[in-house]
Amino acid sequence: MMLRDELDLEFDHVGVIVESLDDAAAQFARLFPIEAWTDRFDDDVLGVSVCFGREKSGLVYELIAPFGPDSPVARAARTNRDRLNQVAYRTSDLRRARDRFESQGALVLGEPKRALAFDRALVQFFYVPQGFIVELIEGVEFRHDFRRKTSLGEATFAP
Amino acid sequence: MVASRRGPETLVASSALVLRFGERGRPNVILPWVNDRTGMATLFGVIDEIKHPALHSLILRQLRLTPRHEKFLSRRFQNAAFDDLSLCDELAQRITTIAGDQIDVFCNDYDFICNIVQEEEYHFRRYDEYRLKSFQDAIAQVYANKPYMDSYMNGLLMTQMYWSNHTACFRFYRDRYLPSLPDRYEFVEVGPGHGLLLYQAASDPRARSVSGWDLSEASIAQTQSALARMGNAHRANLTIQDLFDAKAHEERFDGIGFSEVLEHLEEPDRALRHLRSVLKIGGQLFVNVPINSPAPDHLYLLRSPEEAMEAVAKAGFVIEETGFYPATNYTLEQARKLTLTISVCLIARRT
Repeated sequence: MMLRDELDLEFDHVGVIVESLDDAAAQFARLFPIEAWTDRFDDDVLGVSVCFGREKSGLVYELIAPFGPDSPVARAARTNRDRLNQVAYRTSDLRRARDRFESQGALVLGEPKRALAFDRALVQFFYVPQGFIVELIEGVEFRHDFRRKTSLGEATFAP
Repeated sequence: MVASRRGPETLVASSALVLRFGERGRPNVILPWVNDRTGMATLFGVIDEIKHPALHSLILRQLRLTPRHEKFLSRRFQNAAFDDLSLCDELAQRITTIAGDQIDVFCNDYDFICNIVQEEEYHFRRYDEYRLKSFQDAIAQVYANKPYMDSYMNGLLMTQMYWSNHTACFRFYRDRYLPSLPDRYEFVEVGPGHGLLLYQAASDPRARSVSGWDLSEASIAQTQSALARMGNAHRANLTIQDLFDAKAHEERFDGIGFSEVLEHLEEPDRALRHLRSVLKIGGQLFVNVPINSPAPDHLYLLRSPEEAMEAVAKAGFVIEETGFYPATNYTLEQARKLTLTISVCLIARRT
């Protein structure tokens, strides 16, 4: 119980890999009760294009599409495997969180990087013993800017 | 003995070599390969105990003590070229000799250096700067703390094999820089630290004199001890010498080694100008400086290899040769894009 209390983790989103943001966002809006969308972010450093959709209950989906030739999600997008890719949490101290995750058996997947979609906050990925990927974002204060209201099939993304 | 087929090779779980560290429930058994044809045990499919015995033994020891480095070291070595492995084996022999019966301490100190560098890495990523601002801070927080410094230096020695950019710099120095010096060259290394570079020069029959300078008595003693263990102490003249107070040595040397020192300095430009003054005209400087390389005692932040070249050229040198070596397990292109460490090696001639 103490372990959970000591680490501040706030749920941020569920990440889903898609082939194309435009197609997937429209499809998502037809399937799920998505109320609002963020802008699209083309992140050269992480090699992904992403956007976030908030559904009625408050749950946030991140749609992740490959960006650039070395995108880490290119294979998943191509092969239809690991599409439901990650669960993401915000934390105030990524370094501390890393220690905790490592001590609990998580594998660290790469070094921390700045992410465009989070105002260039540090993000880092872990493979937890439960068998899935967790993304940690440094910045408990961060909130997505859901500025785009959409209805079914109307999700369009201007660069 | 349990064996399972994988292509042309047989994976053998021998109780003497299998490492288990399974408390965390992750894939966690390291198994050396035994090649059917040669019968040799290999680590990561490439490091075999006959061709690279010192490296093989040191990595096994490292992984027994600190299994969390398995993934990193596996990636570091599994695609390494044979001559890279041979050089690492040579370095492993020297490091094992320097460490003597303290080799386990050195392995644990490698883990220590990874932790402290990681701490700095987070600071660097958060604020886009090195944490320390002045040499006084470095003294207070790092250099004056002997146990910390000892562990730091031991760990750094291990990185000469484990971090491919460090190995590549050693190779550049041995294969490109030293042969570029004239016959019967006079050489000084400023800040010889672990002593591996100085030892290499002291073992070169073409060298007429080999010196090592450092400001710190403790550092000189450490280099002396390393050279004595490797067996070439008599050929190197180690002295406590402030580079900024080296007037008596003006235009004396054919070559100067300046490896992983620049990034520790408050006045790097001034240091480069002083280095120039103790070189003969036409003499060659070897610089090894890491860019984007957060560490507990790094002050001088260079952001690109080109910036490093410019700093050296500005001090009155012509750059003759360069080598850019990205952080382990990254390509140069990736390192540039992600602002990761690149070790920059330069041969610079005094005009």
